Amino acid sequence: MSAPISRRELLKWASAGAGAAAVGVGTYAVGRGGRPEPAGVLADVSEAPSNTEARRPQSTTAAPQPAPAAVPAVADPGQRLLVVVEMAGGNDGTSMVVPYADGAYYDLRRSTAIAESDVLTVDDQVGLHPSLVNLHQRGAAIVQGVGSFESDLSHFEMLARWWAGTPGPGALRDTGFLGRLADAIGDPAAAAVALSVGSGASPAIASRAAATLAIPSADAAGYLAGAGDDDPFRQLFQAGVAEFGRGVSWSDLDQRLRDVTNRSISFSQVLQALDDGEQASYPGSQLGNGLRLAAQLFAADQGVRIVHVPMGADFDTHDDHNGRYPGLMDDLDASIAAFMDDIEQRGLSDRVLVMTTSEFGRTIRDNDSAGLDHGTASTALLIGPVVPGRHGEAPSLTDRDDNDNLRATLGLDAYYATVAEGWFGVPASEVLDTGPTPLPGVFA
Amino acid sequence: MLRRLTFGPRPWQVDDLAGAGVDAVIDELLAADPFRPDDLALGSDDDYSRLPAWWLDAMQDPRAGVHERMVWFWHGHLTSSLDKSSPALMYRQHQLLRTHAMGNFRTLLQEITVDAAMLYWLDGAGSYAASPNENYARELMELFALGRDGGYTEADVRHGAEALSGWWVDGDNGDEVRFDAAGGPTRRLEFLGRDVGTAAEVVDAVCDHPSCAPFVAAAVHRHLVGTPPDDARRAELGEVFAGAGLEIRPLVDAIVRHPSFLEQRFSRPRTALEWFVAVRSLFEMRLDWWPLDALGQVPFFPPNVAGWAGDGRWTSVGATMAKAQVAYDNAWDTATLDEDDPVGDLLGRAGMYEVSDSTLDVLFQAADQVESRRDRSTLLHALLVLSPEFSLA
Repeated sequence: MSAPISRRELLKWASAGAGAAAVGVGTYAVGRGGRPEPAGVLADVSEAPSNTEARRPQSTTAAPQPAPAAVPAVADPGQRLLVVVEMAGGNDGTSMVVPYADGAYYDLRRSTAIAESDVLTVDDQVGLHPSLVNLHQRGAAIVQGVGSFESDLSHFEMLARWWAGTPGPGALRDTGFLGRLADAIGDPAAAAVALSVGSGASPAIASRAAATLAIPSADAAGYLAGAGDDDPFRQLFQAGVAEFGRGVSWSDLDQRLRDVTNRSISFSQVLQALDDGEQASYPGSQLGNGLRLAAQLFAADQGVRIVHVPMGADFDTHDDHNGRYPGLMDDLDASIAAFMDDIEQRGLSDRVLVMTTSEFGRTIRDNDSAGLDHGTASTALLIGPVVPGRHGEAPSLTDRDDNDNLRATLGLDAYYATVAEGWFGVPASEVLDTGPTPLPGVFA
Repeated sequence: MLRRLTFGPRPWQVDDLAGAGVDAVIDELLAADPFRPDDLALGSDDDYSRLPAWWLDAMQDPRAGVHERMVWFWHGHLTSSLDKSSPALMYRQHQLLRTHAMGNFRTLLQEITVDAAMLYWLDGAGSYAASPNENYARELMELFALGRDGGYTEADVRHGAEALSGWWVDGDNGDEVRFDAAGGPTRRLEFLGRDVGTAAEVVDAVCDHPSCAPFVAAAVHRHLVGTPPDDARRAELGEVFAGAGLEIRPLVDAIVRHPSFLEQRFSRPRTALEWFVAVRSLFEMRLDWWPLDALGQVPFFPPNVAGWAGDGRWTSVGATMAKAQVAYDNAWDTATLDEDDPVGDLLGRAGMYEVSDSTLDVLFQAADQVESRRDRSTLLHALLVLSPEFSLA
């Protein structure tokens, strides 16, 4: 039997795919076969999903340094690339960027506060979580109070809104924000403009026209391309599938299936041919593996502009927040640091932006389990050629909503608009239908 | 026909039916008793794995026919998801769908309106008349019964929501659904031109609305035939459905016995789930369901309230890579094919009798290149399910 699968694991595996169109009818030649033989025995070959994430955070003890003021050089918008790190479960922005100067923080966080002496100071108001040593050194744009003005406390509902780019309830979501962004910036001929890797959060990249795809991992490519002479059986399999792609079609739909087979093989070849680079020291986490693939794909320059990487980690810290959260931040810090080193070695630093997302923040008051329940506004980070430091308005810790939660100061759509316009030069109205205003001053 | 009306064909099912006329086969399929799978041992509330696996096994069962197909349709039409409820509640709703899949639409809609999983899914649970949640009222009309252009107004949504209020799920008492009069509607409301004051009256007004029968009939048509009906056919089916008092079986009959059903052959892709169940049948294995995640269609887990929309996602690069993985990893323990005619043996098991020359060439070439009968069987199984023909319905 299959192993039990938790709601949380299932949540990570939302489903969907990329868009396409055109249906046709046709007739075709008649084949023939068939001679019965006893049916085989039903075999139970069920297998548990692999969920073998090894969290291997790197601990660093370098002394905190002030964030650099200079903004790196930036490439032409048509060359720019984006990585989205999704922190599923609900990331507590208040622990990631600590409002150490606000006494209310220490009043409300009786068991989970981070001492002022431990934070990595950004300015006279906030400091980064003690684990974010590398991000502190590199500098990050801190986007405050991101969320929804009509918040919902359901993971599902809020993840769906984030994927869709719709802050409020009620909208039907045929496409995701990243999918529409791919439509706006992508090369129509690319095998994939946006890619979601490591998990099934593909509604985020559902597009109207651009090729977007979700893959479980880079290893999936080995089925359609790259069999060597040491594996003649797999060679025969791949040769047969390739023949299906080349076959004479008898209808538009049949042709579409053959085309997608060819494109799948092409993209598998792209994945198989990726250059490992200088072997930057990525953690062995899902985030580390996903970012490594992102760097490889960007370097390969095959049309992939957006890579979406859900972290295989649980930010849903209802209990023992301070026991669990440092590991999450260690992974984030080490993975992004390795990624930034990697793209620097590949000469891509001026082209790559990393943005974080999470469906919601957490309660500002900690609970009796030394944990934090579902909240509303959170904090997001932008890493790359950005103006470091705080952006937007910090949510008040004392003027809270009916559920005792923080009030968002920036809609998630405005956060997306900031990246669409500020980074890619795509008018927000082209990819977001709620008319959001981008946050100024994030990009130099 | 078997691909669209059932989850078949199962190995050799086409041979068994060969010789019978088309009408006789349709008669037999439509007259088949509903398949009643053994009850599911649900396990713990945190175990979300059993429910999809159980249903896949049921779909694969040779006794599963058009009724099972309609249960699947209703799950994608009157959606709810494990995302917002427990396996026990989704199982309860599933039994409701099984009971009414070929029964009466009005009864089905009445019951699912106050079903616990649905109350959670569309926020009816805990909706109070003073500040009603509009989610269910809106989707009831937009997606379930009337259509976006079905002729309702925002006032109908607001009034419907108020009349639907007062229901909740008693988590302390076996998740029983209860009605709390204190939180329910306190006045009569104008809704779709009628005067309503209860959830049942809302559902009745929806079912009696002129947009209802043609909208639902068109959705069933799209599922079974693979294409939407044209306007004339839509109106005709609406009349059939309304005339039958919203009984579902006569509607299915009318759709299947119309020439368009047989004309639209191989005109749409198999959905991920259809393809996967067909692979399970051909491979004669109970493959675990998790590859359906990469393929984009996990039962009990629709992507949103509109269900699994569109054909495009079934012909995507990501889905193709996932299919290749399923095919290659699982073909090793398939049936060992006939020594003299492995390709014919394979196609008979798959129920495929119309195969393009291109595909036959691939299969015959592959068969010739492998010495061992076992490896030949593995390769042929793995390749066939990646052929264009296997991905069509």
